[in-house]
Amino acid sequence: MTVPIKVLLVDNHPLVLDGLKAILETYDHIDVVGTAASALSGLTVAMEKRPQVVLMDINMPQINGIEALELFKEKLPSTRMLMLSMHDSREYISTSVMHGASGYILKDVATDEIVAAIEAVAGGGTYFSSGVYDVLMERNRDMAQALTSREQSVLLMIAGGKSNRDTALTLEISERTVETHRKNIKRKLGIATTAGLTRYAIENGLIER
Amino acid sequence: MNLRQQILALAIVPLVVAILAITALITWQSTTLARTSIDAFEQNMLDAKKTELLNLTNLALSAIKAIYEKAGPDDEAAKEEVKRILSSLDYGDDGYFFVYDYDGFSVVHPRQAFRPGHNWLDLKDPDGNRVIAELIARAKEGGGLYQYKWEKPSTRETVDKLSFAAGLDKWRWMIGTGVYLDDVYATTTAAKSELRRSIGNTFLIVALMAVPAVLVVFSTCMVLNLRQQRMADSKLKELTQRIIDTQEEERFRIARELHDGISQNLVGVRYAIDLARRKVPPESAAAASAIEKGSLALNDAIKEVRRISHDLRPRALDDLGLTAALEALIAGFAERTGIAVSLESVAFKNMLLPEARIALYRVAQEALTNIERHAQATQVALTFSIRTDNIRMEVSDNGHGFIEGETNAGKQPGGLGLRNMQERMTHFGGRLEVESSEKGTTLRAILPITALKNRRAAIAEAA
Repeated sequence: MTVPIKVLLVDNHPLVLDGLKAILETYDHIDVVGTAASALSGLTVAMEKRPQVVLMDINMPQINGIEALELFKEKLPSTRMLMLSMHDSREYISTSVMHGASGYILKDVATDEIVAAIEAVAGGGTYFSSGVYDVLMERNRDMAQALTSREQSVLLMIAGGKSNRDTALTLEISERTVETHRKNIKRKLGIATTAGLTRYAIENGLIER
Repeated sequence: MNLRQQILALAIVPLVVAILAITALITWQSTTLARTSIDAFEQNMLDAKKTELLNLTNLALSAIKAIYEKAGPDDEAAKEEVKRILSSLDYGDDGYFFVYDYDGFSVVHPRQAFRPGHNWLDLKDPDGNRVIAELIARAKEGGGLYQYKWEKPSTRETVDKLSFAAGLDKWRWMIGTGVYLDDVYATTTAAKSELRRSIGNTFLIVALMAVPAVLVVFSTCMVLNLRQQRMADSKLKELTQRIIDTQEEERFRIARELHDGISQNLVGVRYAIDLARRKVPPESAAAASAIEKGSLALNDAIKEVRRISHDLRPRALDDLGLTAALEALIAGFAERTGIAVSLESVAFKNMLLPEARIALYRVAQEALTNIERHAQATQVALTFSIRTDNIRMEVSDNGHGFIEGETNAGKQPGGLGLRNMQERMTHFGGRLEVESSEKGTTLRAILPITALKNRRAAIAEAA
C-alpha cells in the first residue's frame, strides 16, 4: 500500500469543510491532515503539518484564496495548491494559475473528480475542471503581463523608494524573493530600470508625484 | 401654461393691473382738478372783463350824460359833440367805443374809418352771427353783453370779442365797447396743453417706475424658478444616485448571501449525499441510483444559484478587480454574439474605489448591451487606463452608429442606458463622452483621479 497523500482543507464554510473531510476520509490513499477556516490559519497549520496538497477556497474573509497562494508559495514552495471554488469563470482560473495554483476544480463536481484532481496535483501535474484547460492556454497570453498581488505590492514599495531589504522586512519575505518579484515585474512591464518602474507607477496613477 | 408660467403670471399680472389702475386714477383726478381750475380761471377772467366793460360803459355814459340829457332827439350839434367825445375816448390800442344807430348805420368807429355812414345790420362774423343786429338788440333791451368775433386792431387778427351794448333810446343809438378775449383763451389753452404735457409726464414717470418693477419681479421670479429647478434637479440626481447605490448594495448583498450562504450549504449537502452513496452497500443498486439522482438535481440547483448570483453582481469584480471582471464580461459577450472584442487594461488591480469599479463595470456592460442590440458591429475594442490626472475607459465599435438623441428619446430599449451611464459618471465628478458616426461609436467614460483609493492607504494595505 502506498503512502497516503497529505491534504489540508482551507474553507470558511463549516458545512463544506466537514462534508469534504468526511468524504475524503473514505478514500484510503488520502489523509486529511488538517482543516482551517481562513487562509492565515491555514498557513500556520500547513507550516506544522507540511501537507502535499492544499485545497483552497477562494471567497474567504480577510485574505482571499488567490491572494493567499503567493504567501503559501513563499513559505512552502513545494506544496501543491489546488483551488476549490464555486466560481466557474476563466478569470478566476487564470488568475489562480498566475498566482501559483496547480489546479482548479469546482466545488460541485463529483467527489471522484476531486480525488482525481488531488492525485494529479500531488503527482506533480496539474488539474483543471473539465473543459477549462484549453481556454486557459488561450488566455494565458493576455494574462502574461498582469501583475500578481505580491508583485504589485513590491512595485508600490520600490516606486515609493524602499530598498529590497526594507521591502523584504515589511512583506516578511526573503530579499531573494523580493529580487525575483522585481525581475518578474520588469519582465512583465518591459521596463529595465528602477527609475523606469517609479516613472511607470507615477504615470499610471499608482503613486502620487 | 405650465406651473412656472402660472406663477409668473400670478406675480406680474396683478402688478401691471395695479399700476395701470393707479395711473388711470391719478390721471383722472389731476385732469379733473386742473380742468376745474382752468375753467374757474377762465370764468374769473371773463367776470373781470365783464365788470371792466360795465365800468367803461358807465364811464362813457357819464362823459356824455350832460350833453345827452339836455339835447333833443334831433339835436345834431349835441350828437356831433357826443361823437367827438366817444371817438376820443379810448384805452389802449384795442379799447375804443363804437356807435351804431338802431337801423344799423355806423355812427362812430375810431379804429375802422370805413364803417361810419354805412349800414352794417347784416354784417356777419365768421361764425355766422349778425353781430350788429345782435348788439342793437341787446341795447334795446336796456344793455347787455354779446360775444362774437371781430378784428383786433393791434394784431389785425379776427378773435373772440366780448362787448357790452347800451342804448341811447332818445337818439336811437347803440353805444358799445368790447374787450378781446384772445389773451384769456391763450392762457387757458396754454394751461390745457400744460395739463396734457403733465399727464404725459405722469405716464412717463409711471412707466419709468413700472417697467423696472415688472423687470425686478420678472427676474426675481426667474431666479427663484431657476434655483428651484436646480435644486429639484440636484435632488433628483441625488435620488437617482441613491437608487443606483441602493440597488448595487442590495444586489451585492443578495449575490453574496446566495454565493456564500445557500450555495455553500448546498455544496455541504452535496458532499453528505456523496458520502451516503459511498456508504450504500454494493448490492443496493436501487438506493445508489436514487441518491445519484438526488445528487444531480442538487447540482442543477447549485448551478442555478451560481448563475443568479453572478447576474446580480459579478463576483470577479470584487475578488479579482475590474480588469478580470471586464475580461469575463467580454468573453461572455464574444461567445454570445460572435463579435470580436479586444481588451487593453492595466497590469495592476485594487486601485479603484469599489463604487467607481462597479460604476465603470456597469458602463461597460451597458455599452456592450447597446452594441449587441443596435450597432451591428463586428469588432469592439475596450481599453482601460489610469493616468496621472484621470482614469478612462473607452468602448469603441465599428457598427453603424446611432443618431444623436435616438437612444435618449427612449424609443429603443436601451434608451435610458446612456443617461444612466452619464449619471453614474457625474456622481464621481467624471463624464461620459459619446462620438458616433456611421463608421462606429466610441463611448468614453472619464473619472477624476479621486476615484482611486487613497494611494498611501493602498500601499499600506498591499504591505
